[in-house]
Amino acid sequence: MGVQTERPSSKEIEAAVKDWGDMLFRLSFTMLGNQADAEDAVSETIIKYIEKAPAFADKEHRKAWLIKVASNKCRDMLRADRRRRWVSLEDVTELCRQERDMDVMYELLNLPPKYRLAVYLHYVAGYKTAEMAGMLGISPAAARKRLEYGRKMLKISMGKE
Amino acid sequence: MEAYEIKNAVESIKLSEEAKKRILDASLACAANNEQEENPRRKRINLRRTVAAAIAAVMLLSITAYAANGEMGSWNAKETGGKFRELPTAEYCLSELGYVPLMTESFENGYRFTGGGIDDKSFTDKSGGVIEEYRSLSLDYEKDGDRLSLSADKFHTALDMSGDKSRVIGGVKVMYDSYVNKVVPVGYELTAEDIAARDSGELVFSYGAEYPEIVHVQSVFWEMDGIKYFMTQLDGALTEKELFTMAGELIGQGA
Repeated sequence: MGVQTERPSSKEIEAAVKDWGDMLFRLSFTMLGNQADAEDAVSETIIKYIEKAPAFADKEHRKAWLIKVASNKCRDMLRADRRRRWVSLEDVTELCRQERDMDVMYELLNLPPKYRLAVYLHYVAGYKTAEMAGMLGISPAAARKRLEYGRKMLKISMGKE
Repeated sequence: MEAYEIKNAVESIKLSEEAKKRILDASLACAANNEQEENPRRKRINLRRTVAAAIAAVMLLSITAYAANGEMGSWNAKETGGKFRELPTAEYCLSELGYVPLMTESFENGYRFTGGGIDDKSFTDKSGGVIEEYRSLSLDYEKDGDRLSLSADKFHTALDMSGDKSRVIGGVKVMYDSYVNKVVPVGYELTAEDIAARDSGELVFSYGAEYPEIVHVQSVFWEMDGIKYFMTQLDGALTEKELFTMAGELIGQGA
């Protein structure tokens, strides 16, 4: 499976932003904690999709690739600039409609980024730990541990998963 | 918190139409101009050895440490130039460290040696005065991407080594400890939040990383023939039982 030989058309790019923009923004906001950085991460992910996406086997493959690129971009942004390690409570208030959603996001954004990502991939994107391990480039056992730590820190009830 | 609440909260977040337009415009411009200035990716600096050394070095600071001239301020670690890809020989250890610690190429559970080095460590008092300096051996092991660090330290400063749990293996008392560690750069100033977390016991702090990072640390440690051994994992996959077993394999070599 190699790099696509033709760049996506304008319509395909428009479709990518329409189809994946929200998903990528949610992931990036979860990792970065503020709208401005999250939008930058989405923009750079779409650009990388334009430049370097391989031929995808199916929609799920495309989704997993986009998630991996976006999470790597967010990780690089966090490492490159310490000031990015801040959470905008104002942005959370603006983006979440319900008070309970705001409370949950505040708690999620208090986790270290790598545990937030594990929680996002499992509880929001629906990936099993073996799939998460492949996306993150870590062992399945390490993926389970990150999820376990995230669960413990958020005190997620296991009974109703 | 219920699991479904996380999904609901995150999925309530949407990209505004203005933001979608900005992103679309940027993407189309990129495609049209075929110009993109990619931000140089910060090379992933493998801090695992340094971080592990710094963390292992502070582990025992949770236990009161006394030196000849009073209570210790900090236990510091930094890598030296001495690195190797093969297990060092006894002669090399004697010349670099002055002692030959227990070592192994691999453990029975499949963790294999991947590299190592010599670290310069020191104990300093609360005024920053050096109490003792010494060199330590650090070995890295890996299996399926999961990493373990083994260090062997020999020093004179008296330490009271104790952990959450202990077992006697081959006549040697082996301790186990686990906690959440915030590793920060040297010179980092603790925030009010940091201080509160430290004082409540929620976080242990250690110095030696390039940027602040939170890791779950677990370690087994013991002393044998005057050498103190620490097997440490950062966000690792091994269980407490597996760590005790691996310690036992090393101890068995020295029996």
